[in-house]
Parts: sequence; structure tokens; C-alpha cells
Amino acid sequence: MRSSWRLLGILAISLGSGLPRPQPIHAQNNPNPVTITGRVTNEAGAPLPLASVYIETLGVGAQTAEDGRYTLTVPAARVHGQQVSLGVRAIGFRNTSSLITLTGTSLTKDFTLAANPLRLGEVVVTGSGTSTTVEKLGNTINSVKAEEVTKSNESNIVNALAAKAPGVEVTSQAGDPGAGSSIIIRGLKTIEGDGQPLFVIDGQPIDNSSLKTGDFADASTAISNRAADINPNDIESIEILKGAAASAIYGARAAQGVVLITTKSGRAGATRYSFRSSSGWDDVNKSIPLQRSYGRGQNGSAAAAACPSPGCYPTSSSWGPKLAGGTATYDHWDEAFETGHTFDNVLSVSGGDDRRTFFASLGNTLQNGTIVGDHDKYNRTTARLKATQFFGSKLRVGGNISYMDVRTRYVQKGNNLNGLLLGLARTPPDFNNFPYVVDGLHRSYRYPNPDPADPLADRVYDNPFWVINRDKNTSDVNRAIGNFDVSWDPMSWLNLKYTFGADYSSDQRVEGLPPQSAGDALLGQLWQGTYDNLQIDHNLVATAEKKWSSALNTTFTLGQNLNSRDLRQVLSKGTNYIDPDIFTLNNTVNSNLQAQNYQQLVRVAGYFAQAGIDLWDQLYLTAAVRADQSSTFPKEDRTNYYPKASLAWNVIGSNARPSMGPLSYLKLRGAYGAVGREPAPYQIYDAFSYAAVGLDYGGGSTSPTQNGSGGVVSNLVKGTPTLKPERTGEAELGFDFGLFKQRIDGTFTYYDAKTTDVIFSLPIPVSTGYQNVVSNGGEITNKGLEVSLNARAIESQDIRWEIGVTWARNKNKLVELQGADYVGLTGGFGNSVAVKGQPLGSFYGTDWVRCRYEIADADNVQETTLGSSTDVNALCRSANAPNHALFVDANGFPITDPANRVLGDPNPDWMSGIRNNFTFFRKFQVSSLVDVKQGGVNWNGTRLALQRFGTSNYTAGRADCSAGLSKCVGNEQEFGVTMEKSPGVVGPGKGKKVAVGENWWRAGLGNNFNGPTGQGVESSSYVKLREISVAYTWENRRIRDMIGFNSVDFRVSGRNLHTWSDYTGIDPETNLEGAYGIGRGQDYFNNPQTRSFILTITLNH
Amino acid sequence: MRIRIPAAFSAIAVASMFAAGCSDNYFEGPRLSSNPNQPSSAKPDNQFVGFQAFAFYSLTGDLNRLISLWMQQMAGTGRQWAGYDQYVVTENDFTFGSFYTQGGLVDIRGVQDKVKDDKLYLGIAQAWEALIMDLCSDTWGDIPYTEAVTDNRTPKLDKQLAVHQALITLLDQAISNMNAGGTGPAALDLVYGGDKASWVKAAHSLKARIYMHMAELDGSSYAKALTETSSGISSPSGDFTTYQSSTTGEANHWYQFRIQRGTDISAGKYLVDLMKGTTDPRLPDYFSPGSGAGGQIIGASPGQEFDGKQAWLSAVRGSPDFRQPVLTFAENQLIRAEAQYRTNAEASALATLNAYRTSVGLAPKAGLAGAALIQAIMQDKYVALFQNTEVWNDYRRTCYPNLSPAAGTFIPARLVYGTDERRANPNIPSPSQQPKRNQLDPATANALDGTRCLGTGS
Repeated sequence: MRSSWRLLGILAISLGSGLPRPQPIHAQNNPNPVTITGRVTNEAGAPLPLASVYIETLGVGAQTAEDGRYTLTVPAARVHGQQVSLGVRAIGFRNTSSLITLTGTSLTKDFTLAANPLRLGEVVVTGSGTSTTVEKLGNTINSVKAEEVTKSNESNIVNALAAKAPGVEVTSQAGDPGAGSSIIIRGLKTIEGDGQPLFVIDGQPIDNSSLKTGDFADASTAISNRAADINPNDIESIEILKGAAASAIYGARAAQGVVLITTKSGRAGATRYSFRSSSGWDDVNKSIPLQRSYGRGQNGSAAAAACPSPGCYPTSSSWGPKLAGGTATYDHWDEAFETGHTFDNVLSVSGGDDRRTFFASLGNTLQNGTIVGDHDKYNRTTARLKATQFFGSKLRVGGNISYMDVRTRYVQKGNNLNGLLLGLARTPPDFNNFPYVVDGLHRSYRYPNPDPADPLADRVYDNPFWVINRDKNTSDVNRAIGNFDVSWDPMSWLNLKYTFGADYSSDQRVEGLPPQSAGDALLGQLWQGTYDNLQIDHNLVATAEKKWSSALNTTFTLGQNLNSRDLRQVLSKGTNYIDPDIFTLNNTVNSNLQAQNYQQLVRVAGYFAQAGIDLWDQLYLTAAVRADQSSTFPKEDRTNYYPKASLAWNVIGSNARPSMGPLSYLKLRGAYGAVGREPAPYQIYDAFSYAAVGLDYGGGSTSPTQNGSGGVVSNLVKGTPTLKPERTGEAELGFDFGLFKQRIDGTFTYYDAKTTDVIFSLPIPVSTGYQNVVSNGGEITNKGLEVSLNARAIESQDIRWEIGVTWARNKNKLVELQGADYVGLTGGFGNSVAVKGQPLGSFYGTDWVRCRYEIADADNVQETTLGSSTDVNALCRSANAPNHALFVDANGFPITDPANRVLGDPNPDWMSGIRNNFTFFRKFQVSSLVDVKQGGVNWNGTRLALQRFGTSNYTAGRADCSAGLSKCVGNEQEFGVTMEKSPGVVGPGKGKKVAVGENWWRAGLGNNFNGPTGQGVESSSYVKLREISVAYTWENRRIRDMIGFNSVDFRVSGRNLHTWSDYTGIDPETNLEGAYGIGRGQDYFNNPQTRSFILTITLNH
Repeated sequence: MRIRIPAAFSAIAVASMFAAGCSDNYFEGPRLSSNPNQPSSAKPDNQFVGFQAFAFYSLTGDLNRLISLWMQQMAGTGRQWAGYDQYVVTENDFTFGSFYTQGGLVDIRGVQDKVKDDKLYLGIAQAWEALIMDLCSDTWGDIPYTEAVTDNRTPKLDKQLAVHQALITLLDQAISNMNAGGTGPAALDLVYGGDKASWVKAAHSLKARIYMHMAELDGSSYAKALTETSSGISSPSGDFTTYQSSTTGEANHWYQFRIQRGTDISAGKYLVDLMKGTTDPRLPDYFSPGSGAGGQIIGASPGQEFDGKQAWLSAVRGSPDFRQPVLTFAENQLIRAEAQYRTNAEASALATLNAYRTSVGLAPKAGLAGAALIQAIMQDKYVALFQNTEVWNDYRRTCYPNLSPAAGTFIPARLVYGTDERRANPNIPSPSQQPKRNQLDPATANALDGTRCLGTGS
């Protein structure tokens, strides 16, 4: 019985709820309250903030401040000379206690805590209202502490998780303020979803969608992922549930794992104030390399650059002669970027007593990004209040409400005529992009001499400064997340927990292009949208625990979860502005031309049961099942079951066997679980469409409704009434160990996950009348290893050095696709797809003609010159050439293979994070984080396009083609050897050296417009200095008295300071698509990443 | 505090346990058990309107632009279109998806199924089917037809000749159905406003067109085409044109292309120079000068980039509400002239030609015969059918005009099947195994004047 109380007590403390066990009030015999003060430090003497100091038997407690000091007051009524145990608990340290005698006098008691790197005995939240202690876990849960989240100063919590846990891949879309980021845990397990895990805050699932604005197929701005609305400074800890066994309790929503976020709580004790202010300087970390030696022209001559009369269009490319010395050239990149600033201020107040606690915070993040001017901005204001109240000793009621106001202004990017870099990077070096407006007319490098008689002439690409200064792309989010929770212990062995909460956001979007913008926005184009997103969650859990003997303890949990998600979108488009600068629908002549409504409502009812058996305090068996019903399942098959079981055996480190030689701890664990992903709603129905559809290359549109008569057409995708949820079964095996009294610790996990019934749109021949039919036929496997090692290398009084390494590899494979060769992925340029037998997201498209022994010989017969065909594989065999040897034609050039081939895999082979922490003389802390991604490719479409335009630095060493494109001289290259390096070369042109210049890059196949996609695939491996910081804690009693703060922390940190990579474009961590799709590694005029220097000052009272 | 709170709480908890989840009502409702965003069934009228809008795209959209480039009536002067201009087309670029899916065969068959009792409506829907499937078969040759838009997930390819024969049969049914009468689609017919007589004439002209396609394999087709032209479109006011307006979503596809990808396509040098050479009065009706061209209409040759001087469509042709001609009186007349020539009625052929020439403001030709006569007929047809895919059919059949292709290449005689079909249909051979020419276009050795045909390859 006692142990169950202890467990609940531990639980309550860890949840920040104070202690629910006030003792019966004894006869008063002491008039004075007792104040206990002291300081909690680690073994090296460094102060430990956020440690809980408590007297369990009296139900009183306090929390240490940043300087490790605490003050705990025992009310006079409870003091009667008794001896009590004063305990201390801090995350990452072993619990310690000391006996004290309470008399009328105040006490001082300092504690030095021993490190507990394996967190043994600590409570860990396991989701849906359940929790356990670390040693009992049979599956992997990675914890990320508050300090690690805030140290990075990332405003998006997803970015703050980069390189913090093995097997967790974070990709920031771009460095734009508010840019979305993707997080993929243990590999992709879906084709049509977004691959993102479920986010849960304080027991309540929240929205982390990334919804595009307007009709831009590739998303014109780096739109945010909604979890970024959360203030990272409110977070106390994050648990990442990685495998199916860990996340099975979330059933049909947990296939990609779960990120459990616990926010900070107040603690009993003196009210504490903290003010944290940081100021950051951000700049672009890597630019697109551009040449400055050759000016505008074509055919090696400047003639085509002449554009004397208004309305003329000079050549688009920079294939003119070498610029004469003294010719003015412009650094187009440098002109468009500047140093950005980020200001982050957070004020928090927390406190409480033995019956109630509270935590309140107010935060603001103001970021002005790296694009010149203040047009890329992010302004997030958050407020949170979290409070708990005890009624009697058995009932605790809590409330937690947060409000977020997030205003973002974006600059258009990517594969988009109105994007910033598309026009910028194509501009010839001798063209001045200023002025971008002449007499009210938009001037672009393609249209440098605007004709006043034709104000709406095509600009082809927008001038980058027009993009920056004149467009308006905003997202204004108002969001509230709140919940009400109750914990009740009706019996000594029974606990009931209830949480009811809501997450509501309203997002007002504008995507406006003023008149004279390129593309179909010549008259001006405006998208205005309102997105309303409401999620309601109800979770009820009953937990019974009984200790039958010293060898047997059991727990049993029953739960119910009801969840409803409601999304409503209204989008309207107007064109033809009345006033060029007002971005509202009624300022457009053609208002409300395309109204799009989208609504979806999903309801889930889940029931779960979990049983745990603890044997001899060393063997822990857990088994559970969740039954999920969802409105998106077909009615006939509404209930799906997700079981799990795990076993943890503390071989060494238990009471029975405390250690064996240097081995101080060893836990063996194994787990199996099943999770799912519910189908998106309405896919079980056939439907007709009345939406206008973009049909033409580049985006013209046709509406089914014509001439005032309503029209509909069939959907391209046929519904499937029998659609089932996707299902992932995953087994994991591993061990955790400690050496030399935990001086060194580590974990090792192997997992094998198989996802079946993967939902995707199966391509069917278009001659059936449909492009696709929704299908359950995919199968994906993810197998991987995760290793982490930590060592406290130096632990002396003055110097401490901790080093931690994580390493993970994941092998992803799309095993089955129901007969299809490949299907497209949600989002993407279209060349990162799902190919059967390949990792998800593999690049697929045209390539050079090569030896391809892996395909049937008949499929490798190529048309080489007019009317003649070559059996390439036969040629390769006779030449004994290696597979993928490059075919070179008689002229010495490679040629395009018209069939689509697998071009490369964007998934990394392995990832690693290396963390170092030094503490000097208790006051100085130096820490660093290195992020390594090895293997994987990006598609550098930016470089390919710029090769066509002759602005890429890659074309700087070019042949002289002034005598004509067939008579180029210089820059002699051997294809397959010095260019397009290949495992071998075959064909009549083998060994031939050819001049490479405009003849190849512009007029030939050396670009993505004429040539194959495959030439842009290159390694995206990198080593990145993610974080480095130096901190100093200043404590001075006199100053403290003067300014009223106990301590002041100073921190200087750098983020993304350097990236080591062979990638030839911007930072290889980039993606045209953000977190809204799973197309990956696509680089097409993406906005760049940033690096930052940050100064932070924290005042603690 | 008081016992009531926990009691109330447990009561709520237990009640909610049973109330919500156990009931099917929780999962049923307006936005749960039906799609709130899209209708699940369609009325024939709505489906017919939607079909027509998308069919106009199939007829005058991307494919139409590609063929205008290849026939050098227009020219690709930027980005992807510069590549297409030099015949760089892969199986990813142009596909026949739009002919079958969403607004294609699936929807016109859906209309046919629903209007069976209204014979006029049915006949019009059948004529529509013949029009779009003819273009599809002309472009890709053998296509899925008999097994298309059925439950068969791997429709077989029907030979191009068989498809054409089937379309002739379909048009015969269509004409007979139209003549049987009915209410018809009336104003929902965006082409003829439901006018039966116009539709019957258009169906005959279409039959004539299809017979011409079959002539290389079946010499008797010329006589059959000639017969059909007698009942075909009888005046320019009976032309089959697309419906367009300046409303977004209804705009002419060439206009939409221009405002989106303005300088990627310009006037074709061959056609511009030809019309200048004949001082054709329609030149300014077709094109307007580029802004840097000093009032001159200048065309681009294959491979030439946009320089601001090349002409674009005239204000009329380039406007959002320009109704693109698809099947015209001019075509009917010139088919008639050629068919007369082919059936050895040269005098009638010349008379028909001259009647046409007079009607468009060109001087009549005197004393033409033999090769010169057929060349004159085909030249006038090439000019008359500006921006019409039929020009490519004539070119493959007659090698007129004898176009010089971009250097080192030849003008393709068919398109490879698109990935959207090939990837899922095992009946489609890989690109390298596909024929270079369609069944109805066996290799043409010579141009009409007996010289080598420049643009055609193997």
C-alpha cells in the first residue's frame, strides 16, 4: 500500500502538482513556522535549478531557483518536534533525503546530488494519462529537457529537437522567420500523409498542420507548422515516443510517433520571478554561388543583350562575352540579404503552497529576417496560465490555458515566377536590379525598359525587390489551447484522471501580388483565406495499483479517449486590382472569382487497457491494447485494435544485484506494438468536382461552370468504400547500461517496423476514366539501429566535461505498391516520389543513357541520332563496362534516356549528434552540439536552371562560343571523367574531349529544361555546428540586494555557425516543401538557411 | 472538498463513457458520413457543361500549342516551350489523360447514360465523343477505346484504323439520334445552343475529316469524305467554335497561356513569311507586332529565343473571349476541294478552292492543275486552319507544308504514350518499343511537289 502511495506521490511531484498528502492536524504545541533554507548543487558544486525539495509526510515542498537555493516553510500548526525526512529530487540526479527534526527554529540544509544519468527511478510520462518509472520501460522514449530546448534559442520547438535524440530527423525548410520544419521519427511510414508525429501538450493532442495558401502548387511561402506556435520557454520536458510499442496508446494517430510536451508548473514555496531576454543576429549561412565574369548575351555575343527601346525583351541569359575590366557588376545576392534580428523576451511567475500552485508566463518573439527591409517577419506573443488546486487530500483540479498570437509575413520563394530567388539568381551579373520601379512601372531583368504604353506587359520573372517590397503574404494566427484536468484518488489503490481540452486556431491568410507581377498576376492577384481549426479531446483514465508482496506489484489502467477535429477553410481569389496597394477582395475588379470551401470533421473514440506486472523489483512486464473507432473508417469495419507488450529486465543495478565489476547497470528490454494512421476523411466516397482546375502548363484554369450554367466533372481519384487504416507493427530490442557507477552510460536499440495497408492513390490507366483509385495496398519497412553514449569524462571540483554521442541509422524501403511502379508523394516538385523497392522519397525521373544491366535489354535501346538505335546494354557487355557507365555519343556528349529511372535516395544513411558540455569553476558553462548527416541526396534544380541561364558559378570556366555554338573552343571536358563523373564510359565518343560552354549548358542538355533531371542529384551529407554557447552565472549578494535578483545568467551562443558539405548550392538542409508533404531534398530556388549569434540574459528572483 | 464533487465527477465520467462512444450517432452526421465538399452524384446537364469546358481544353490547350509549334504556325521561344519547339518531348510531357478522365470520355459517357431517352441530347453527346476521341487517336495512334472507361483496369489498345471506323459508326448513330429529335441540351450546349441542324452538319464535317485521316490506308475514303462535305457545315456562321469569355475559368486557353507564360511562345516564322509572301489580308487578324518590332510582324524559327520583336496573336485572337475554331466551314470546303482533286475532279476542286479564296478575300487562282493545284489547296488549308491540330494530320498525310525541322532532328509523327497510362497499363509498350508513326500515316517519301519531305524521319 505504501509503495503505491509513493508512486502516486512521485507522480504528483513530477507533474508539478505539489503533494496530496496533508497529515491530520495535530494538537498545536509550537507557535512558530519552520523555515528551511539551503542550496542544492551537483557533485561538482554547480547549482541545480528546478530541483524539488519536499517533506513527503507533510505534503510540503519547494523548488530551487536558478542559483540552486530553496526556501521551504512548514506551517506552525504542523510543527511539533517530530523527525521527518527532507527529500530532494532533480531530473538527471539521484534522489537524496536527509532526516531533520522540526522544532521551532529555522534550519539550513544543503544537498549535493549524485548524477543519475540513466534517470533511474524517475517518472516518465507515457501518454494518454499514463506514466511509469524509467527502469520499467520496455521501449525507447527519448527525453529532452527544458534546458536543451531553450539553449538553442530556436523559436520553433521542432527545430529545437534537431540532433537531440537518435533517429529523429529534423529538416528546417528555410531560414525565413516562421518557416515550417519537418520532424520524422524512425523513418517515413506513409505515402499520402505528411509523415509528422502526433503532438500532445499536457495530455492534450494539438494541431501541427502546415496548410498552404492559394493555388500555388509548390507552396509559395515557407509556411509554418502549427506546433511552432508554442513558446519553447514554457516547456519543462519533451518525451519522444518513437516506436509502435511506445505510441500504441495513441492508436490510429500514432504511426509516426508521438511528441509529448509537458509545460512548466508552479511549485510550492516562495513566488519566483524570472525574466529572460535574448537578442539574436541572423544572417544567411550559404548563398547560391553565382558567376560575375560574363554578362548578358547569347551565342557568345552581347548583341542579344541590347534593349534600347521601351518594351523590348533582351535575352534571358548570361552567355555574353567576358566582361571587360571595369564593367560594373552587381552582387545580386548581397543586395537582397542583410543581417536579421531576433528579440525574445519571456517573463514567468510561479509559486504556490501546499494546496495550490500556479505558473504564468508572457512571452514575445519578434524576428525580422534576413531579407532586406522588414518584409519577412515573425511576431509571436504567448501567454500561459497553469494552476492546480487540491480539494481535501484526494482531489486535485487543474487548469491550463495558453493563448498565442502569431503574425507572420513571408516573402515568396521556390518554383514560382513571383519568388524571390528565381528572378534574382537568373539576373545577369551586369544588370542592375535597381531601380525596380521606373515611373510606376515594374522593371525586371527580362523587361528592363518598361513601355508606358503597355503597363501590363509580361515581366517574365519578378524583380527580387518587387517581390520583397510589393507583395504581401501574411498569416495571422490567433490560437488558444486550454484544458481542465482532474485527478482523484477515491480509494488508496485507485486513481482517476480526467482531461478535457480544446485547441482552437483561426488563421487569416493573405497572399497578394500587385498588378504588373509576373505570370498570371499581371492584373494583380489576391488570395484571401480563413482557416478555422478546432480540436476537442476528452480523456478519462482509471489506474489501480496493488503491491501484493515484496516480489509482486501490479498496475491496471483503463481509459477512454474521445477526439474530434474540425477544419473549415474558406479561400477566395480576386484579380485586377483597383488600387495597386490595397490587398482586400473588394479592391479587385474580379472579386471572389474562385471561392474554395473545404471542411472536414473527424471523430475518434478510443478505449484502452493496460496492465503492468513488476516481479522482484527487476522484471517489468507491460501489456496493453487500444481499440479505436474513427469516422473515417468504413462503417462495417469501425473498430481497430492496437496491442502492445514489453518486457524490461534490470539484470544489474537492482537490489538483488547492484553491480558486476565495472558494470553498474544493465537493462535488457524488448517490445512489440502496433499503431495506425487513420485514412483522411471522405476518401471512401466517389465524388464530382465543381472546382476550377489548372490545366495548362504553368497554371491557366478551367472552371466546370460556364456561361452561368453550373458544371461538374468527375474526380480524378476514385473512392474506395472499404478503406482501412494503415497499420504499423514494430518490434524493438535493446539494452541500457552504466559503467563505473554510471560515469559512462549508453543505450542500444534495434527496431524493425513494418507498415501494411499503406493508403495511397493507386495509379490506374487514365483510359479507365480515373487517374487513381484510393487503395490500401502499400507496404513500407523501416529497420534501424539507435545508439547513444554519454560519458562524464572529467568530474572535478573545478572542471566538468560531459560528452554525449547519438548515432542512428534507418533503412526505409517501400516493399509493395500493389503492382504500381511508383506513385507521387504529397507535396513536391514531382521528382521525389514513392518507387517500389526503393526508399520513400527517392528521386525518379529522366537520366543520361547509361549501362543498365538491372533492366531488360529491350528497355535500354536508345535512339541516338536521327533514325538509328543503339542497344546500349549489348554495347556495355561487349565493352565490359560497369553498371551505370555513361553512354557518350559520337560527338562526345551524353544523351537523355527518355524513360524514368531511380536517380537517388534523399534519406540519410546515418545521423549523429555530438554534444559537449564543459563547466569551469561552477560559473562558466561551454557547450556545443554537432549534427552529422551522412548519405542521402538532394536534387539541386537551382544549379541546373542557372546553368541554362549562365549565371551559375559552375559555368564560370566556360568555353568560348563567340564563333558559333558549333565552334566553341576551350574548357575541354571528357564526359564521364571530368564532367558528369561516372563509374565508366561507353559509346562511340568515349575518350573524346569536348568544349563545354553555352553549347552545352544553354543550348544543349546541360540544364533541367532540355536535359535530364538526374544531372542535378548530388550528395547532401553535412556536418553542422548546430549550437555552441558560453554561459556565465553571476551571483553577488550585494548586487542581489541592490537589484533584487538572486542571480543573473549571461549566455552567448551561436546557432548553425558552420556547415561542412560538398553540396554545390545553399545549405543542404533545405526542402522546397516544408512539413506539409513528404517529397524531400528538393532544391529549386528555395530561400536560404541562416546562422545566428545570440546574447541572452536571464534574471532570476 | 465535499463528497458531492467527486460524486458528480464520477457520474459525469461514467455517463460520458457510455454516452458518446457506444453510439453510432457519434460517427454519423452531415460532415461525418458524407463528403461536405463535393457532390456524390451529378445531373446530366451539370456534367455536360463541365465536360464541354474541359473538352475545350483538350482541343485548344497544351496539345494544340505543341502542334502549332511543330507546324511552325507558332514557335517556342522560352523555357520548356523552347525545348518542345525542337521536339524534346518525353512521356512525362503530353499525355492523353484529359481525353479520358475528368471532363473527358468518362463524363461524356456519363451524360450519354443519363440522357438515353432524349435522342437529340444523346446524339450531340455522341458527336462530342467522336470529336475528342478522333484527336486522341490522331495523336497517339492506337488507343484504348472499346475497353476504355469500363471496369477493366487494363484496357487494351485498339488499332487506329479500327478506332476511326468505330467513330464513323458512332457518328452515324449520332446523326440518326439527332434527327430522331428530343429536347436536347438547349442553352447548356455551349457550341450551338442546342441547334439540331448545326449539329447534324458538324457531324457530317467531322465524318469527312475522319475519312480523310483514313485515306492513306483506304483510298475509297476520299469519295466518302466528298459525300459527307455536301451535308457538312455550310457557312462560317455554322463553325464549331469553343465557348470562352473574359470570366476567369472561361478564358481562351491561348490567352491564359499568354498572361501566364507570356514570352514562351511567339508567332512562327514559316507561317508569317508565307502569309507575307501571298500578301494574305488575314495576317493582322492572326498576329499583332511585338513591342520592339517597329510595327512589323516577325516570326521565330525553331530554336530562336524570345527577343521582344516576335509577334503574338492579334488583339482579337489573343483576347480571353475569342472562340477558338475547331471544325469550320473553311475546313469543310477545303476537304471538299482536296477530295474532288483526289477523285480526279480537278475542275471542281479548283472551283471549290476559288470559292473559298474569294470568301476570305484572296484572289482566285486560274489554270491550276495537278501538283500545283493540290499544293494550292493544302497551302490554303494550312493558313485557314491556323492553330488547329488538323494541320498536323494533313502534314503527316501530304508533307504539306514541307517544313524544315530544327537542325539535326525531324518533326515527330506521333506522341509517345504518357506515363499516366503506361505506368499502370501493361498493354502499353515502353517508349523505345513504340512505333514512330501511327497506323494511318505510313511513311511519306515525298512532298506534294515531288521533292524530298524535309521534316519526316524514319
